[in-house]
Amino acid sequence: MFKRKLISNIMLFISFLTALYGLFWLFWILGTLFVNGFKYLTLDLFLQDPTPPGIEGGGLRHAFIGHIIITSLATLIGVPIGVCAGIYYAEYGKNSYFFMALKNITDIMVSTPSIIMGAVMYALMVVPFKQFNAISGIFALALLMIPVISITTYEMLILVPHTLREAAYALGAYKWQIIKDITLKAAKFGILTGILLGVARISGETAPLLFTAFNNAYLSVDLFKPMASLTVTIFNYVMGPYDYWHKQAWAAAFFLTLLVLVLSLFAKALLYFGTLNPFKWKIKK
Amino acid sequence: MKKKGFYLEIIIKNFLGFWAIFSGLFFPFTVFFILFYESRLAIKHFGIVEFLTSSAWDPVSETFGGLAMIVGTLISTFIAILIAGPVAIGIAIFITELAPSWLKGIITSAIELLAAIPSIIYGMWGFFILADFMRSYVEPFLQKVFIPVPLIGKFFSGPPTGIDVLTTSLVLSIMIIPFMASVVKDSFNLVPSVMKESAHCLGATKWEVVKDVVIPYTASGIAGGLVLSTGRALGETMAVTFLAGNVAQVPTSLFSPFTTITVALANQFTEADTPLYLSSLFYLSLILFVLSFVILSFAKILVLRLQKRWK
Amino acid sequence: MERNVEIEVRNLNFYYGEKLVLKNINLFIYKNKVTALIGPSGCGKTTFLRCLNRMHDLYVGNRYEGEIIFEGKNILNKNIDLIGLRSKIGMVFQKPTPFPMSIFDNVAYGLKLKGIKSSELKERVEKALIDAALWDEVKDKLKESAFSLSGGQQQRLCIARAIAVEPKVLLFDEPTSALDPISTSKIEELIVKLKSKITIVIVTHNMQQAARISDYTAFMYLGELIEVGPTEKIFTTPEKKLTEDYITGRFG
Repeated sequence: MFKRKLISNIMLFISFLTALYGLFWLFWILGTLFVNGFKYLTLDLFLQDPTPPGIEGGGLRHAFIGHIIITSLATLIGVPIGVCAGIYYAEYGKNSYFFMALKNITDIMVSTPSIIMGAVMYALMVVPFKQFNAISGIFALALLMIPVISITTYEMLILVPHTLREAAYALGAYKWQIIKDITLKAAKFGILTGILLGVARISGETAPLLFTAFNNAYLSVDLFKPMASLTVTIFNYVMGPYDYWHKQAWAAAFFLTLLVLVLSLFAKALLYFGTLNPFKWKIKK
Repeated sequence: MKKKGFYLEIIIKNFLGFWAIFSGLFFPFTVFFILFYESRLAIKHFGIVEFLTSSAWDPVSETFGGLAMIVGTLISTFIAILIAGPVAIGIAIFITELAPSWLKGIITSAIELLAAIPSIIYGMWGFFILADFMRSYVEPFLQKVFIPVPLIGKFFSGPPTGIDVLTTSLVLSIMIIPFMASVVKDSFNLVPSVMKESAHCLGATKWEVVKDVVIPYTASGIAGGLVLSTGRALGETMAVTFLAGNVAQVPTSLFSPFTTITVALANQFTEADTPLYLSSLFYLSLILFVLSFVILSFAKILVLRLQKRWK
Repeated sequence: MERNVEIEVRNLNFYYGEKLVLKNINLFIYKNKVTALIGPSGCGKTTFLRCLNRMHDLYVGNRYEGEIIFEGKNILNKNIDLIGLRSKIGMVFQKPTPFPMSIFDNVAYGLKLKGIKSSELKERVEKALIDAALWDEVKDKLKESAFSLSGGQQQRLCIARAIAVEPKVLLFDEPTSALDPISTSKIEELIVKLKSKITIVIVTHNMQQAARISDYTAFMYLGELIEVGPTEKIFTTPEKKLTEDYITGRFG
């Protein structure tokens, strides 16, 4: 009897150690990121464009602006499509083997390597234009977003209890009216959270942009030319030989991580507080 | 009003349905088709078997074989899962069984934080910080310990540069842990409390309840989570690119520099100057896509089985 | 007998997939009267209720046979306009189902669907809330969320919402089973008051409730209609032994 209790305590202690193991890495990574990033964070980073390679100074304004442009346009394309698909899967497709299969395929696409989207857009939009361009990067990111958004939308919508829909039908409403007035409203916080998390995810993506939007040493808002992004710039600077490049990369990485973490936290808080109030059914995380 | 609503219903349904078919059918099919189409030159040139078994990768003589990349991808992923699997299960056990409620939230949030960090940060941190640490302390130590050991020793040979299979797999494993821990934790939460309570009532210890009730009950879910994490690790690019070394050879030791499909793509796409070179890269992409699609489908089936059994 | 029939059910059979769930139901529902459907769990009373407004059409694999005559037409016909039907035959469910909107918007929803606007909208919402005995409690907080109401109030809100579109028939599916006794009696009062304007069909597993508020009672068992008649007769001198056994509590 004592032996069993001992074994149980040992195993549980080991599980405690694994939690510590995870925390260890978290603190080490975030710790070095914060320390180095903060150290090299300057106002110039946001206000100035890069200096010629090898010459100290300059900033990453071009990358910040490029990143904002690319991310927001990708969101503008990806979110509506994803939401539409998610609504269809949840509200019209539930009884169809065909559409549930499509939903499962979409779910698989969520975890597909992101660099593949870059390769696809390279073939579709870089080669014909004979140069790297921001638009191909935007579409690559949008293609990444679509599965993510549609699945989260779907999962939020199916949580809305059936009786709510039935009550609306009993009043003589059309399906689209019910979706518009009732179901979407009931699930709005969940869907919004899904969208914010999707944006957070594509903000941190590098691979799809590597050979689509490529990079640009200058500030450019031309969608048909290469455009700098924060992530690709970090990549190039880290691999590069210059010390000041490394410092700027740390600062940019720090800022990017902060942004992504804040977005994710905000999204989760939105879900928690939004559903805390009116809606009585429990949303399992 | 009635008539207008009726026609609107049809229009809206078809509009939404169009995008559903776009996302679930047209999109994945197009990806496959484009990758396949761009690979056709390389497929014609090298065939299937030869490309998969040759590790020759020489842009000058235009011989390309994907073995080094494929093996690199598989090995780094395998080792990463080996490390991350038990840890993730341990964390899930800790969260669901051991942690007091105030700690539960903190650990769960910490795990989610780890999951949200962009992969390039992992790569960068690995490159600047971990690689050095591995090179200076961990790897020499491991070499001292393991090289004398027969059989295993040769896996620890070679100069310890920190840019190798071991470091790469380690960082990959750290990246997978949060995702896998969430999946396992969610599976654990599916176990009805009555099941656990009946075991407790019979005098089982906490560990025994986990070992004999929770884990068997959720075995499909855990397996599904493992396979899903494998699928994700396969496609990881940025963390691996900094730490692999980009050397097109099949690794023979934990300390060998190597390459993976994603590393090759990330580094060489913009350098491919001949049609065959580019086509070979697309061939690699195709292999990666098919591999991850198959593995992810398998994971999905496993998870669906768990849900079906216990709904 | 023919003069005051609101709905006539003829030879109704209902299939759930391959399973025959309702067997040869024949029934009259009389205008401006309360008809109660009673019977043990699983006897099909809710299934039958949901045939009357074709709720089953929302799910696949269901099939009707027979006729339900309302306003001179068979509403089981494929060509019937379901949207129109449902605004004439309304339904109140077991659990209160307030929409995620304000109290006013909840009651106004059915009216807005029909295209009723502004000033008429306000009048009809107020009238519905008065008829549902809820007006005094909510008149100062019409813009507040419907979730700020108690369970009993939410159910009366759902009733107000259903009667705002002025249906001819109102179907109640165990409307008080989720409520406390005080709310229950308020709603029973409401139902008795409403019958002067609306025909009511109520499913209840509470026999005393049926005895209290209904004019006619139909007893169902295993998908068949065993006996139907004036409530007083069913409860004092039932014709079938099965009915008598149920009424006297020999089986539940």
